[in-house]
Amino acid sequence: MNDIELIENYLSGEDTAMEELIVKYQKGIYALAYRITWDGEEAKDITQNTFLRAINSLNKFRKESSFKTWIYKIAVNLCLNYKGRHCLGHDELDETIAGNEAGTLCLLIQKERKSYLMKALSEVPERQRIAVSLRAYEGLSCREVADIMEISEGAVKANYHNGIKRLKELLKEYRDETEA
Amino acid sequence: MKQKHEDIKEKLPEYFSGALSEEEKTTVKGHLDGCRDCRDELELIEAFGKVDPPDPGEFFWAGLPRKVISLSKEQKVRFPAFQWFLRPPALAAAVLLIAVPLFTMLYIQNRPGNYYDPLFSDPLSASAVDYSWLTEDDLTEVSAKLIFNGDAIDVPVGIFDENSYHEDIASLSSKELDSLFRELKNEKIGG
Repeated sequence: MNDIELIENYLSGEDTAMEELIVKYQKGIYALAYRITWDGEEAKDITQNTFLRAINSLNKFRKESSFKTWIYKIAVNLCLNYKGRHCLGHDELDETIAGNEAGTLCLLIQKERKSYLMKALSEVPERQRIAVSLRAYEGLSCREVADIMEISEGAVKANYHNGIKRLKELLKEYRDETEA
Repeated sequence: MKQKHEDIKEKLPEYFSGALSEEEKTTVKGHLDGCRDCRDELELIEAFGKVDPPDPGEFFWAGLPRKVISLSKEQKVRFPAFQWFLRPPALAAAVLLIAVPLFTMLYIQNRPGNYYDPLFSDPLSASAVDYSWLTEDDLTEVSAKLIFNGDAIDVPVGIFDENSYHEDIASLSSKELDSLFRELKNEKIGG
Protein backbone atom coordinates (compact mmCIF):
# COMPACT_ATOMS: atom_id res chain seq x y z
CA MET A 1 0.00 0.00 0.00
CA ASN A 2 1.47 3.40 -0.94
CA ASP A 3 1.57 6.54 1.21
CA ILE A 4 -1.47 8.18 -0.38
CA GLU A 5 -3.59 5.08 0.16
CA LEU A 6 -2.44 4.92 3.78
CA ILE A 7 -3.42 8.56 4.30
CA GLU A 8 -6.84 7.99 2.76
CA ASN A 9 -7.37 4.94 4.96
CA TYR A 10 -6.39 6.94 8.04
CA LEU A 11 -8.77 9.75 7.10
CA SER A 12 -11.55 7.20 6.76
CA GLY A 13 -10.93 6.14 10.36
CA GLU A 14 -8.22 3.48 10.19
CA ASP A 15 -5.57 4.41 12.79
CA THR A 16 -3.32 1.48 11.86
CA ALA A 17 -2.73 3.09 8.44
CA MET A 18 -1.18 6.12 10.12
CA GLU A 19 0.82 3.88 12.46
CA GLU A 20 2.26 2.13 9.40
CA LEU A 21 3.15 5.47 7.85
CA ILE A 22 4.88 6.69 11.03
CA VAL A 23 6.87 3.45 11.39
CA LYS A 24 7.99 3.85 7.78
CA TYR A 25 9.49 7.32 8.28
CA GLN A 26 10.23 7.70 11.99
CA LYS A 27 13.86 6.56 11.86
CA GLY A 28 14.67 8.73 8.86
CA ILE A 29 13.10 11.81 10.47
CA TYR A 30 14.91 11.14 13.74
CA ALA A 31 18.29 10.70 11.99
CA LEU A 32 17.78 13.92 10.03
CA ALA A 33 16.73 15.83 13.16
CA TYR A 34 19.78 14.53 14.99
CA ARG A 35 22.16 15.47 12.17
CA ILE A 36 20.81 19.01 12.23
CA THR A 37 20.39 19.60 15.97
CA TRP A 38 23.06 17.26 17.43
CA ASP A 39 20.77 16.70 20.37
CA GLY A 40 19.26 13.23 20.92
CA GLU A 41 16.40 14.40 23.16
CA GLU A 42 15.55 17.29 20.87
CA ALA A 43 15.66 14.95 17.85
CA LYS A 44 13.10 12.70 19.60
CA ASP A 45 10.83 15.67 20.30
CA ILE A 46 11.19 16.93 16.72
CA THR A 47 10.33 13.46 15.38
CA GLN A 48 7.18 13.31 17.51
CA ASN A 49 6.15 16.89 16.67
CA THR A 50 6.77 16.34 12.96
CA PHE A 51 4.24 13.51 12.83
CA LEU A 52 1.84 15.33 15.13
CA ARG A 53 1.92 18.42 12.91
CA ALA A 54 1.57 16.27 9.81
CA ILE A 55 -1.52 14.48 11.15
CA ASN A 56 -3.12 17.74 12.25
CA SER A 57 -2.44 19.31 8.83
CA LEU A 58 -3.32 16.37 6.60
CA ASN A 59 -6.07 18.47 5.00
CA LYS A 60 -3.30 20.81 3.75
CA PHE A 61 -1.41 17.99 2.03
CA ARG A 62 -2.35 18.53 -1.60
CA LYS A 63 -0.60 15.44 -2.95
CA GLU A 64 1.36 17.59 -5.43
CA SER A 65 4.58 16.36 -3.84
CA SER A 66 5.19 13.01 -2.18
CA PHE A 67 4.26 12.48 1.46
CA LYS A 68 7.95 11.84 2.15
CA THR A 69 8.96 15.24 0.78
CA TRP A 70 6.14 16.94 2.67
CA ILE A 71 6.97 15.36 6.01
CA TYR A 72 10.70 16.05 5.62
CA LYS A 73 9.84 19.68 4.95
CA ILE A 74 7.94 19.83 8.24
CA ALA A 75 10.89 18.20 10.02
CA VAL A 76 13.45 20.59 8.51
CA ASN A 77 11.34 23.61 9.52
CA LEU A 78 11.03 22.32 13.08
CA CYS A 79 14.80 21.70 13.17
CA LEU A 80 15.54 25.20 11.92
CA ASN A 81 13.21 26.63 14.57
CA TYR A 82 15.10 24.62 17.13
CA LYS A 83 18.43 25.86 15.79
CA GLY A 84 17.15 29.39 16.10
CA ARG A 85 16.57 28.87 19.81
CA HIS A 86 19.65 26.86 20.70
CA CYS A 87 23.37 26.93 20.02
CA LEU A 88 25.12 23.64 20.60
CA GLY A 89 28.79 23.59 21.49
CA HIS A 90 31.26 20.82 20.71
CA ASP A 91 31.59 19.87 24.38
CA GLU A 92 27.94 18.87 24.46
CA LEU A 93 28.40 16.93 21.23
CA ASP A 94 31.31 14.98 22.69
CA GLU A 95 29.30 14.17 25.81
CA THR A 96 26.45 12.84 23.69
CA ILE A 97 28.78 10.57 21.79
CA ALA A 98 30.68 9.44 24.89
CA GLY A 99 27.43 8.41 26.54
CA ASN A 100 26.60 6.08 23.69
CA GLU A 101 29.84 4.14 23.22
CA ALA A 102 31.53 1.18 24.96
CA GLY A 103 35.09 1.17 26.29
CA THR A 104 37.42 -1.32 24.54
CA LEU A 105 40.49 0.02 22.72
CA CYS A 106 39.00 -0.82 19.35
CA LEU A 107 35.78 0.91 20.21
CA LEU A 108 37.70 3.88 21.57
CA ILE A 109 39.44 4.29 18.21
CA GLN A 110 36.10 3.97 16.46
CA LYS A 111 34.59 6.37 18.92
CA GLU A 112 37.33 8.90 18.25
CA ARG A 113 36.82 8.56 14.52
CA LYS A 114 33.04 8.86 14.83
CA SER A 115 33.43 11.73 17.20
CA TYR A 116 35.60 13.57 14.74
CA LEU A 117 33.31 12.79 11.82
CA MET A 118 30.30 14.12 13.70
CA LYS A 119 32.19 17.14 14.87
CA ALA A 120 33.22 17.80 11.27
CA LEU A 121 29.62 17.54 10.11
CA SER A 122 28.53 19.89 12.87
CA GLU A 123 31.08 22.45 11.63
CA VAL A 124 29.59 22.53 8.14
CA PRO A 125 27.18 25.46 7.66
CA GLU A 126 23.59 24.53 8.43
CA ARG A 127 22.11 24.72 4.91
CA GLN A 128 25.00 22.68 3.49
CA ARG A 129 24.59 20.10 6.25
CA ILE A 130 20.87 19.79 5.54
CA ALA A 131 21.56 19.36 1.81
CA VAL A 132 24.24 16.70 2.49
CA SER A 133 22.04 14.87 5.01
CA LEU A 134 19.01 14.82 2.73
CA ARG A 135 20.95 13.92 -0.42
CA ALA A 136 23.46 11.41 0.94
CA TYR A 137 21.67 9.82 3.90
CA GLU A 138 17.99 10.09 3.10
CA GLY A 139 18.50 9.27 -0.57
CA LEU A 140 16.42 12.20 -1.81
CA SER A 141 16.88 13.65 -5.28
CA CYS A 142 17.98 17.25 -5.91
CA ARG A 143 14.42 18.12 -6.89
CA GLU A 144 13.00 16.68 -3.66
CA VAL A 145 15.63 18.44 -1.54
CA ALA A 146 14.89 21.70 -3.38
CA ASP A 147 11.21 21.29 -2.53
CA ILE A 148 11.97 20.58 1.13
CA MET A 149 14.44 23.44 1.55
CA GLU A 150 12.37 25.77 -0.65
CA ILE A 151 15.35 26.67 -2.83
CA SER A 152 16.27 25.98 -6.47
CA GLU A 153 17.84 22.71 -7.62
CA GLY A 154 20.98 24.66 -8.52
CA ALA A 155 21.19 25.99 -4.97
CA VAL A 156 20.80 22.43 -3.62
CA LYS A 157 23.68 21.23 -5.80
CA ALA A 158 25.83 24.16 -4.69
CA ASN A 159 25.02 23.57 -1.01
CA TYR A 160 25.66 19.86 -1.34
CA HIS A 161 29.01 20.23 -3.14
CA ASN A 162 30.22 22.99 -0.83
CA GLY A 163 29.26 20.84 2.15
CA ILE A 164 31.13 17.82 0.78
CA LYS A 165 34.12 20.03 -0.03
CA ARG A 166 34.16 21.42 3.51
CA LEU A 167 33.93 17.90 4.97
CA LYS A 168 36.88 16.80 2.82
CA GLU A 169 38.94 19.72 4.13
CA LEU A 170 38.02 18.92 7.72
CA LEU A 171 38.90 15.24 7.28
CA LYS A 172 42.22 16.19 5.71
CA GLU A 173 42.97 18.38 8.73
CA TYR A 174 42.07 15.42 10.94
CA ARG A 175 44.46 13.09 9.03
CA ASP A 176 47.24 15.67 9.19
CA GLU A 177 46.74 16.07 12.96
CA THR A 178 46.75 12.27 13.45
CA GLU A 179 49.91 11.78 11.39
CA ALA A 180 51.69 14.64 13.17
CA MET B 1 34.74 13.20 -20.18
CA LYS B 2 34.40 16.25 -17.89
CA GLN B 3 30.59 16.22 -18.31
CA LYS B 4 30.50 12.54 -17.57
CA HIS B 5 32.53 13.04 -14.40
CA GLU B 6 30.14 15.73 -13.15
CA ASP B 7 27.14 13.55 -14.01
CA ILE B 8 28.60 10.61 -12.11
CA LYS B 9 29.39 12.83 -9.14
CA GLU B 10 25.74 13.92 -9.03
CA LYS B 11 24.71 10.28 -8.81
CA LEU B 12 27.01 9.28 -5.93
CA PRO B 13 24.38 9.81 -3.17
CA GLU B 14 21.94 7.62 -5.10
CA TYR B 15 24.73 5.07 -5.67
CA PHE B 16 25.40 5.03 -1.93
CA SER B 17 21.72 4.68 -1.00
CA GLY B 18 21.21 1.99 -3.67
CA ALA B 19 18.62 3.96 -5.60
CA LEU B 20 20.26 3.49 -9.04
CA SER B 21 19.30 0.94 -11.67
CA GLU B 22 21.68 -1.93 -12.41
CA GLU B 23 22.83 -0.24 -15.61
CA GLU B 24 23.57 3.04 -13.81
CA LYS B 25 25.36 1.19 -11.01
CA THR B 26 27.69 -0.47 -13.54
CA THR B 27 28.42 2.90 -15.18
CA VAL B 28 29.22 4.55 -11.83
CA LYS B 29 31.34 1.61 -10.70
CA GLY B 30 33.32 1.70 -13.94
CA HIS B 31 33.95 5.43 -13.47
CA LEU B 32 34.97 5.00 -9.81
CA ASP B 33 37.75 2.59 -10.75
CA GLY B 34 39.51 5.33 -12.68
CA CYS B 35 38.51 8.48 -10.75
CA ARG B 36 40.22 9.25 -7.47
CA ASP B 37 38.08 12.36 -6.81
CA CYS B 38 34.78 10.44 -7.02
CA ARG B 39 36.22 7.57 -4.94
CA ASP B 40 37.17 10.04 -2.18
CA GLU B 41 33.73 11.57 -2.24
CA LEU B 42 32.01 8.20 -2.02
CA GLU B 43 34.32 7.18 0.81
CA LEU B 44 33.34 10.35 2.64
CA ILE B 45 29.63 9.70 2.16
CA GLU B 46 30.08 6.12 3.37
CA ALA B 47 32.09 7.23 6.41
CA PHE B 48 29.39 9.66 7.51
CA GLY B 49 26.71 7.14 6.67
CA LYS B 50 28.21 4.78 9.24
CA VAL B 51 27.93 7.40 11.96
CA ASP B 52 24.51 6.58 13.29
CA PRO B 53 22.71 8.89 15.67
CA PRO B 54 22.23 7.50 19.21
CA ASP B 55 19.42 4.97 19.16
CA PRO B 56 16.54 6.15 21.40
CA GLY B 57 15.59 2.49 21.97
CA GLU B 58 12.90 0.07 20.92
CA PHE B 59 10.49 1.41 23.53
CA PHE B 60 10.54 4.83 21.84
CA TRP B 61 10.10 3.45 18.32
CA ALA B 62 7.31 1.06 19.32
CA GLY B 63 5.39 3.68 21.30
CA LEU B 64 5.77 6.66 18.99
CA PRO B 65 3.00 5.90 16.44
CA ARG B 66 0.28 5.33 19.06
CA LYS B 67 1.50 8.27 21.14
CA VAL B 68 1.35 10.66 18.18
CA ILE B 69 -2.12 9.51 17.12
CA SER B 70 -3.53 9.78 20.65
CA LEU B 71 -1.96 13.25 21.10
CA SER B 72 -3.53 14.35 17.84
CA LYS B 73 -6.95 13.12 18.97
CA GLU B 74 -6.54 14.87 22.33
CA GLN B 75 -5.79 18.15 20.57
CA LYS B 76 -8.82 17.75 18.32
CA VAL B 77 -11.04 17.17 21.35
CA ARG B 78 -9.56 20.17 23.13
CA PHE B 79 -10.01 22.53 20.17
CA PRO B 80 -12.69 20.89 18.01
CA ALA B 81 -13.99 23.72 15.85
CA PHE B 82 -11.86 26.69 16.80
CA GLN B 83 -8.43 25.19 16.26
CA TRP B 84 -8.05 27.18 13.04
CA PHE B 85 -8.84 30.34 14.97
CA LEU B 86 -5.72 29.94 17.13
CA ARG B 87 -3.39 30.09 14.15
CA PRO B 88 -1.65 33.47 13.81
CA PRO B 89 -3.00 34.47 10.34
CA ALA B 90 -6.59 33.61 11.28
CA LEU B 91 -6.22 35.39 14.60
CA ALA B 92 -4.81 38.51 12.92
CA ALA B 93 -7.64 38.51 10.35
CA ALA B 94 -10.25 38.19 13.10
CA VAL B 95 -8.76 41.08 15.07
CA LEU B 96 -8.71 43.24 11.92
CA LEU B 97 -12.32 42.38 11.11
CA ILE B 98 -13.39 43.59 14.53
CA ALA B 99 -11.01 46.53 14.94
CA VAL B 100 -11.32 48.23 11.52
CA PRO B 101 -15.13 48.79 11.51
CA LEU B 102 -15.03 49.75 15.20
CA PHE B 103 -12.33 52.41 14.76
CA THR B 104 -13.92 53.70 11.55
CA MET B 105 -17.26 54.17 13.34
CA LEU B 106 -15.60 55.90 16.31
CA TYR B 107 -13.65 58.20 13.98
CA ILE B 108 -16.72 59.24 11.99
CA GLN B 109 -18.70 59.96 15.14
CA ASN B 110 -15.96 61.96 16.81
CA ARG B 111 -14.31 63.87 13.98
CA PRO B 112 -14.34 67.72 14.35
CA GLY B 113 -17.27 69.64 12.80
CA ASN B 114 -19.45 66.65 12.67
CA TYR B 115 -22.86 67.05 14.25
CA TYR B 116 -26.11 65.25 14.34
CA ASP B 117 -28.52 66.64 11.74
CA PRO B 118 -32.15 65.71 12.44
CA LEU B 119 -33.13 66.58 8.84
CA PHE B 120 -30.69 63.95 7.56
CA SER B 121 -32.17 61.09 9.48
CA ASP B 122 -35.80 62.27 9.69
CA PRO B 123 -37.02 64.74 7.03
CA LEU B 124 -40.48 64.97 8.67
CA SER B 125 -38.91 66.74 11.58
CA ALA B 126 -38.55 69.85 9.33
CA SER B 127 -41.79 71.04 10.89
CA ALA B 128 -39.91 71.43 14.13
CA VAL B 129 -37.44 73.92 12.61
CA ASP B 130 -37.73 77.50 13.88
CA TYR B 131 -38.46 80.01 11.02
CA SER B 132 -38.92 83.00 13.31
CA TRP B 133 -35.60 84.48 12.27
CA LEU B 134 -36.83 84.96 8.63
CA THR B 135 -37.76 88.55 7.65
CA GLU B 136 -40.30 89.69 5.06
CA ASP B 137 -37.43 90.54 2.71
CA ASP B 138 -36.18 86.96 2.87
CA LEU B 139 -39.64 85.67 1.98
CA THR B 140 -39.99 88.22 -0.86
CA GLU B 141 -36.69 87.11 -2.34
CA VAL B 142 -37.64 83.44 -2.15
CA SER B 143 -41.07 84.21 -3.72
CA ALA B 144 -39.39 86.10 -6.59
CA LYS B 145 -37.18 83.14 -7.29
CA LEU B 146 -40.16 80.84 -7.38
CA ILE B 147 -42.14 83.19 -9.69
CA PHE B 148 -39.26 83.62 -12.13
CA ASN B 149 -38.44 79.94 -12.12
CA GLY B 150 -35.57 80.07 -9.71
CA ASP B 151 -31.98 80.95 -10.47
CA ALA B 152 -32.26 80.76 -14.26
CA ILE B 153 -33.58 84.34 -14.37
CA ASP B 154 -31.68 87.25 -12.97
CA VAL B 155 -34.14 88.63 -10.48
CA PRO B 156 -33.73 92.36 -9.88
CA VAL B 157 -33.25 92.98 -6.22
CA GLY B 158 -36.02 95.08 -4.67
CA ILE B 159 -38.65 94.38 -7.34
CA PHE B 160 -41.17 93.78 -4.60
CA ASP B 161 -40.05 96.45 -2.18
CA GLU B 162 -42.09 98.94 -0.14
CA ASN B 163 -43.00 100.90 -3.36
CA SER B 164 -44.76 97.94 -4.85
CA TYR B 165 -48.58 98.12 -5.24
CA HIS B 166 -49.21 94.44 -5.07
CA GLU B 167 -50.61 94.58 -1.54
CA ASP B 168 -52.90 97.51 -2.47
CA ILE B 169 -54.17 95.71 -5.55
CA ALA B 170 -54.73 92.52 -3.61
CA SER B 171 -56.90 94.41 -1.11
CA LEU B 172 -59.30 95.85 -3.80
CA SER B 173 -62.84 94.53 -4.12
CA SER B 174 -64.13 93.12 -7.42
CA LYS B 175 -65.95 96.41 -8.29
CA GLU B 176 -62.84 98.44 -7.59
CA LEU B 177 -60.79 96.03 -9.69
CA ASP B 178 -63.26 96.38 -12.62
CA SER B 179 -63.08 100.13 -12.35
CA LEU B 180 -59.25 100.04 -12.28
CA PHE B 181 -59.22 97.71 -15.26
CA ARG B 182 -61.40 100.04 -17.32
CA GLU B 183 -59.22 103.05 -16.47
CA LEU B 184 -56.08 101.16 -17.52
CA LYS B 185 -57.80 100.05 -20.74
CA ASN B 186 -58.82 103.62 -21.56
CA GLU B 187 -55.25 104.76 -21.02
CA LYS B 188 -54.06 101.76 -23.15
CA ILE B 189 -51.83 100.33 -20.47
CA GLY B 190 -51.32 96.62 -20.91
CA GLY B 191 -49.63 94.02 -18.83
